Amino acid sequence: MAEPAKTVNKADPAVLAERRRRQRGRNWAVLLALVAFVVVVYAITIVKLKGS
Amino acid sequence: MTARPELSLRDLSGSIAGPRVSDYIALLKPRVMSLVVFSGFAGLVVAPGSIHPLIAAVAILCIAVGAGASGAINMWFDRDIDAIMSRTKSRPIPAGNVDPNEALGFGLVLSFLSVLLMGMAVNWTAGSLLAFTIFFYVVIYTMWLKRRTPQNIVIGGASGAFPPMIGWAAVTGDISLASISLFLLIFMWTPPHFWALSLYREGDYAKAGVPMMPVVAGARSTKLQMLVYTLLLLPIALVPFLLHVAGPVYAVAAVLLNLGFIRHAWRVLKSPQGIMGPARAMFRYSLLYLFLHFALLMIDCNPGIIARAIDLVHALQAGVIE
Repeated sequence: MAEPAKTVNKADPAVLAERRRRQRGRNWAVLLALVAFVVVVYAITIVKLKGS
Repeated sequence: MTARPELSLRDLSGSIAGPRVSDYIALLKPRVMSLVVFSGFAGLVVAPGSIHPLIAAVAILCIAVGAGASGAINMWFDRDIDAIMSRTKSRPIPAGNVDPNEALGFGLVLSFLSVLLMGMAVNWTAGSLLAFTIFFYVVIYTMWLKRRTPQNIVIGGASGAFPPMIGWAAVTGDISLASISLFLLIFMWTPPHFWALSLYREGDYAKAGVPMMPVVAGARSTKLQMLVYTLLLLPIALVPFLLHVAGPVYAVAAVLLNLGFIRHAWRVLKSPQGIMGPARAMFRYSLLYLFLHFALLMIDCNPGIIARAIDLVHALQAGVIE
């Protein structure tokens, strides 16, 4: 006998909470990437200025 | 009565609950990236001259991000065949976790940033080489050759061979015969490495209509070509020694490693049709071969490499304290 299909209600509070959790994870990742980029550019500038 | 199966929220696809950070990391093909980073680092260490440790770290970061970005664009373009092949069907796009256009945008933005940072922070020779590598992998290999010719991996393999040249150019600012010898090493290594994989994944490629060598020319012809490439690889592996990039320790180790590779190719050639054990063993050995090759190259041309690594850590600490 075939297994009953898994159904997902997009408006289910648990699904919405999971959506928010993943959104928060992506936001943190973008923040970290941007901060890292700024730090790298800042450090490169210092090294280049010292070099010249 | 049959109970409805419990739905795990962690298993929800990206189209319902949005993509996870790990889906974006998977788009960067981290396993491929690790080998690219290692060979790029080797090029950087082997090159004559000096480079500030921070600039060296930025060069490696740019190589890693550039390689990952081209992987993301590759996944965007190949999403139709990725969905068919069992090896790739769980990738973020065919699994429905990341929207294809988002993956393309992600790849393009990272490509642009990696080339820009490499050019501005390191030098424009390395930046141009990185841009050309991304172009070669995405346009020449993925879009043009992969679905058209069984020689796809032979020519397309060049994109995976550029990282040591980029690392070298990051230090010296130029392209030399010695850096081309490092390129040639990976270039000639790629066909037997990849064909070993495609021998035991032949069904996958045939199903997706990708003209890999075993699909088009058959297993016997592929195995024969693998042996030819491993034989050609032996003299090429000795070029860095002949150009005085590395010393006799490397030369002896390179000969031994190549003899091992040839032995694997011979075992694959002699294996009966349908027996995939030797091809799997050769694929695993090919990864070890490349890793050991570049590791030996770095150690042999820098006998004091460990002492230098300690100095580098001290220099970085001093920089932070200042």
